[in-house]
Amino acid sequence: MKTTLRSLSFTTKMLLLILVILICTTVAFMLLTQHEVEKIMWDTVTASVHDMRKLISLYVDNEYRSLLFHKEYALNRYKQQLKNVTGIVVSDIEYYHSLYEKDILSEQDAKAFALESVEKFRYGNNDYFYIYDTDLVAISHPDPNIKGTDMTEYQDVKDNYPLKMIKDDVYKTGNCFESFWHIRLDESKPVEKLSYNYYFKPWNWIIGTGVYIDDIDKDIESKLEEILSEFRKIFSKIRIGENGYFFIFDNNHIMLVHPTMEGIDFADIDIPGRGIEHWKHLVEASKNPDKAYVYFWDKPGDEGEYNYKKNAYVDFFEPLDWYIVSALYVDEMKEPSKRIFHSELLIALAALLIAFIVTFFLIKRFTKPVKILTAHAKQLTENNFGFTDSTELTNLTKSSRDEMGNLAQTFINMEKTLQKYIHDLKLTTAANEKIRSELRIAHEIQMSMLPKTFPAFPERGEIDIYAMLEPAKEVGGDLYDFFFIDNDHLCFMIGDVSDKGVPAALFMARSKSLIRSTSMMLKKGLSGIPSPSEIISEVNAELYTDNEHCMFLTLLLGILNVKSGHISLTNAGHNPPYILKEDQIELIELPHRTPLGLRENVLYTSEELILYDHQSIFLYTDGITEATNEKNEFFGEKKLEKTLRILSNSSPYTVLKMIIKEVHQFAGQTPQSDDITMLAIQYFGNKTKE
Amino acid sequence: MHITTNKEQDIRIISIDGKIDSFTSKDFQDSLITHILDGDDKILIDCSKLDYISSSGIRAFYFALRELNSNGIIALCSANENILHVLELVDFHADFPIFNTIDEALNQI
Repeated sequence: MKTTLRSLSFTTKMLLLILVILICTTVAFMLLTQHEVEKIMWDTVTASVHDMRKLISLYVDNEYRSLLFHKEYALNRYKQQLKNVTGIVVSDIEYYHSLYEKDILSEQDAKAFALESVEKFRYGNNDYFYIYDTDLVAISHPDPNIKGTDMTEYQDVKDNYPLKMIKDDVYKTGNCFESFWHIRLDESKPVEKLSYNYYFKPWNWIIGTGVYIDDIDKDIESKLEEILSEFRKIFSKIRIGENGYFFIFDNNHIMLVHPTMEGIDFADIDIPGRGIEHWKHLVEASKNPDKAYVYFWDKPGDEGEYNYKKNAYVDFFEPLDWYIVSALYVDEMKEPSKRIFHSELLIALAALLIAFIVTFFLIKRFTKPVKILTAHAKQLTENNFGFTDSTELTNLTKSSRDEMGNLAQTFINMEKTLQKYIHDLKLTTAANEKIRSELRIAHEIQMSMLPKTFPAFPERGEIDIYAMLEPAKEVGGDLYDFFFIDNDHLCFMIGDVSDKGVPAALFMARSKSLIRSTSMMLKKGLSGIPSPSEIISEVNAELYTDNEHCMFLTLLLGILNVKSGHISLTNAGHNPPYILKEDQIELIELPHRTPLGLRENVLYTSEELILYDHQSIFLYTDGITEATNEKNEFFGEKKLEKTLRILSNSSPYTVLKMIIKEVHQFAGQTPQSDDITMLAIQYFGNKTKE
Repeated sequence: MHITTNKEQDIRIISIDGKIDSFTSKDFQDSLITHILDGDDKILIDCSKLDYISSSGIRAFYFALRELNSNGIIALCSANENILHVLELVDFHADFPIFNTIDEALNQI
C-alpha cells in the first residue's frame, strides 16, 4: 500500500513537522549569514586592498619625490660649481681689463693676456672655458675645429640651437645656464652637458664652461633601482587574501616588480586563448583605477592553466610611467565565508540531530497517554462495552495532571456512563422487542381473521371475488369480509376503523366479529335475509356502547343475490363503490350516514342496484386515494377512476393487482401510511364460471 | 399543525393551520377539551387554513362532542373542498353544523 501523509502516525507527523521547521530555519539562517558574511568579507578585503593601494601610491610618490629632490640637489651643486669656477675666470678677465683701463696694458694686449689665461685654465675633469663674441664666433675654444668658427648655426644632437639661445639669454640677464646634448664616442645614448655662460660686456665676450651631468641620471637610476629593490622586498611580503599580490610594470611593459615574473617583458607572455594583449587591457583598466578589472590568471602553485578569477585595480603613476597593479583572487575572498558556512553546517547538523532525538522522546512521552487511551477504547469495543481493566487509565489520571489526565478521567466517567447506558439499552431493547413481537403477533392474528384463500368459492360459478389488504407498517384498522348468509346471498363489506395502532386493530376485530354474528343472528330472528341497514344499525348500537374513545368504523356493507344480481347496499361514512361495466365505470352515490360507533341512533337505509352479466362492483378504502408520493400529492379518485376505466372488463384479481401496482408506482419511495384495502366482485349471472 | 384561539362574544373560535392527522389529532382534541372544561359551550372551528383531516381528527370531534353539554355546539366554517368531501362521506353535518364563512357561522350559532 502506498504510504500517504495521512496514514502516518502522529509521532512521525510531528517529527517530520519539527524536522521540516528546523531544516527550513537552519537553511534560511545559513543562507542569510553566508550572504552577509560574504558581503562583509568582500567589503573588508576590498577596503583593505584600496587602503594598500593608497599606501603604495603614497610610498611610490614619496620615493619619487625624494628622487626628484636628490636630482635637484645634485644639479644645484653642479650649477654652483660652474658659477664659482666661472667667477674665477671672469675675475681674471676683469683684472686684465682693469690693467687696460689703467693704461698699463693696451686693449689688445689685455685681451691677449686674458685669452691666454682662459685658454690655459682647466678644472675638474679637464674641463675648460670657451669665449664667443657677439657674432657667436669662437674666440677661444680648446677644439681647434671650433676656434675661429661662427657657431651661430650649431645644432646639438637634439636639434637645438644652444648658442643662439645662450646669446638671447645673456643679453637679457647677463648670465644663463644652457644644456648641450652630446653623444659620446663609445655610447649611443645622448648625454647632457650643462653650461654656464657669462656676458662680459666691456669686450662683448660670452664666457662659458660646461660639465657633463649624466652622472646625475646615473645616480638617479641607481637610486631608482634601489627603490625598486626595496619595493620587491616589501611587495613580496604583502599578500592580498592568501595569494593575491601587487606588481608593477612600466610603459615598456617590462615587469618591474612581480613575485615570479620580474624583468620579463609583459608582451612576451602568451596566455592560451587570449594572446599577448593582456598588458594592454591592464593599461586600459588604469583609466578606471577604482573599478575592478576581472580576468583569469594563474595562481602560485598551479601555473599554466590561467583559470583563477582575479580582480585587479590598476593605478598609473605618471611621473615614472609605472602601472601598479593590485590583484586578488576572487575565490580566496569567498574562502572565509565558506569556512564559516562549513562550521555552521556542522553545528546545524549536530543541533538538528539533538533536536530530533529530544523531540522523538518528548513526543513518545506526550503520545503515551493517547496510546493508552486508544488501547483502552479498543479493548472496550472488543469487549462489547463490557468489563475492562481501567488500572492503566486510573494511573494516568494520577501521573499526568494535565489535559491528558483530564481526558483519561473523562474517559473513565464516559465508560461508566456508557456501560450503564448499554445495560439500560439492553433491557429496553428486550422489552421493546417483546412488545414488538406481541404487536406482530396481534397483526398476524388480525390478518388471519380476513378470508385470504382465493378463489374463495371455487364451486360458485356465478361470481368471482378477490380482495386484498396491504397493511401499513403500523398496525391499522382496515377490514374486508365476505360470506354466504344462505345459499344465494353473499354478504360482503369493506371498512376502515378511525386511527391506527392496537386500539384500532382491536376495534376492527371486534367490529368484524360483530358484523358476522349480527348477520347470522338477524337471519335466524327474521327467518329471512336481513338488509344491510338492519345489520349496520344493530352493529352501530353495539359499538356505540362503551365507546369511550369515540373509535368509529366507516363501513360499506352489501348483500348480493347471486341468482339475480341484485345488491342491497348500505354506506356508513365510507368511500362510495364503483360498478365496472363494459368499458365504463359508475360511481354509486349512496346516502352518506354517520360511521359506526359515533351516534346511538342513526337511521341507516339500504339502496338497491343490479349487477348485470360480467359487471363488477369495486370497493376500496382511503388508503388508495390518500396514498402520497414524494411531492406529498394524493393518488386521488381521478387516477383511480382512470385505471378502473381501463380495467373495467378485467377479472377482480387483475383489477386489484393492477391498481396496487399503479399505487406503488405513484408512491415511489414514500412509505405507506395507511392500510390499502380493496374488494371486487365480478358477476357472471346465474351461470357457471367460464 | 398550529392552533390559535380567540373569543368573539360567547363563541370560542379555534383556528387550525396545517393538518389534523394521527400525529396531531391528540393536540387538537386536547385543545377542544380544554376549552370545553373551561366553560366554552359554543365552539367554532375555523378551517380556512386546514389542509387535511384524517379519521382520527373526526374521532376527536366526536370525543369533544360527548364532553359538551346538551346546549353546546361545535361548528365548522371555511373548510376547503377536499375536507368537505371527507366530512360529507361520514355524514358529519348531522352532528356538526358546517358553514361556508366565519361571518355566516357567527351569525347563526
